Amino acid sequence: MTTIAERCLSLIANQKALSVETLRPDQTLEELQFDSLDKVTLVFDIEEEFHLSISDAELAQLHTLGDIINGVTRKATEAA
Amino acid sequence: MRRVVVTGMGCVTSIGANLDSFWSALLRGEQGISPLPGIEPGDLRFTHAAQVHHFDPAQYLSPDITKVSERSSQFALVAAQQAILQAAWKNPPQMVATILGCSTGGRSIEEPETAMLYRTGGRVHPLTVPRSMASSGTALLAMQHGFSGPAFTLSTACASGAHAIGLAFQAIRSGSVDAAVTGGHEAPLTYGFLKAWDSLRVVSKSGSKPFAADRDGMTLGEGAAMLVLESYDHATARNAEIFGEVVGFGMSCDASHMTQPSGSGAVQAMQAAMRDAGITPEQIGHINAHGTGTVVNDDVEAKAIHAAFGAHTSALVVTSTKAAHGHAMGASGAMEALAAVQALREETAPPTAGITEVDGSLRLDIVMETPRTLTTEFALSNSFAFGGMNAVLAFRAFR
Repeated sequence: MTTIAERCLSLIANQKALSVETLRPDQTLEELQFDSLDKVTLVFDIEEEFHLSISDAELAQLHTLGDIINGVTRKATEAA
Repeated sequence: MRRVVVTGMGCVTSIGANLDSFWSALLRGEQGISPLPGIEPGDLRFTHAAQVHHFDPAQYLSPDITKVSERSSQFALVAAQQAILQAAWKNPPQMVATILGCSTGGRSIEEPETAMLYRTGGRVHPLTVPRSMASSGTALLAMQHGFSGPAFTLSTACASGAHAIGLAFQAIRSGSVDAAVTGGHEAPLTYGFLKAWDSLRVVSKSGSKPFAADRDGMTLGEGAAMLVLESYDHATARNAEIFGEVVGFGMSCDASHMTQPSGSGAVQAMQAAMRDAGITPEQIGHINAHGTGTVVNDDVEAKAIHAAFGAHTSALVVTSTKAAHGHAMGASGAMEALAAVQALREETAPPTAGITEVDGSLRLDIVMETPRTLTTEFALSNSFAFGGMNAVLAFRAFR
């Protein structure tokens, strides 16, 4: 069964045409060349994938891939 | 004032996805018209359009570009790639303008997104705005090639492409830029747009037959056509191959009716183009007409040509290439400009595809069935849009 982390990494990889295997939780979106448009697109994809809502304030706190995985996991758990 | 020449041409159309295939299809009298997919029988009065098939943007564009672009912009980028390749700039000029015409923007993105929103209360994708804004093609083209000169999209409905080329011509002639990539692009064949045109009752059920006795409307189309224009001095300094010369541009507005052409505006624009070029009507030998195939348009355009050319009208070799590539809205004027430049270059006027009998009441020498040899040095390309916005380009053969 695909984990939340794997699903997040897949969306991140897809956004910038990267290989999932190259992604690590400590990498920042900045290091992966995400610009503001990439970020809002990624957040849109995450919201669609997990049926949740990410506020602007929460978006501002998402710097690393680990931030995204942890944030989505927390929200998904709360919703469950 | 500086002379302005054509050093590159490219296109994506329903009859050919590059200049050579486009031109040879025009000469053969082909019509790029095919059945519209997914239309229920009886839903529209028409069933066909001039669609571009087998267009795979990933074949030509990087993933970064395809992600933020829509079909209309992708047509523009691919056609421009061809034109720029043909221009063979070793070092692009210092100031390159990017001036494109587009009437409807990125409908294939915007329309389904908003339809879904209204139907189901869904969400709209964040790339919808950059993909669908009408200026997307111009922005992406300038970004892709690093063109830092003036860049803008103009929208004058069916004359957008011709207006764009005319303004690019003026910018180079005045000396404000050395070169421009210019033309028109459109991908309007979305369900909502088709329904809107259906309501206007001007689309042919059988396929556009411009100037024919049995014409019954236009055929919608899509695609893009692009030209590289540069100053004659710049082109000759680098020993560029020159395919033709832009010598005049005339604009006018009917200022009378949204959809019914007055005729006087068309006359005014043709006369302005010839005056701008410093030539007399007697020097023009060929017209690529607006020629949509509607009863009213072709009748009004014929009368306008008679008014502008008088007794010389009988010496004009007139064709409409819309019967072949369809009426691709903002791209049409650019497709027809390509055809006019090619006609002078090859000394051959392509036939008006699909017609077998010209409406005698129009009293025009319409090329039909087979190409016609041209001996003229000058040609006009007419574009007359809804809203009465008229743009006429004058070209000279470069020999």
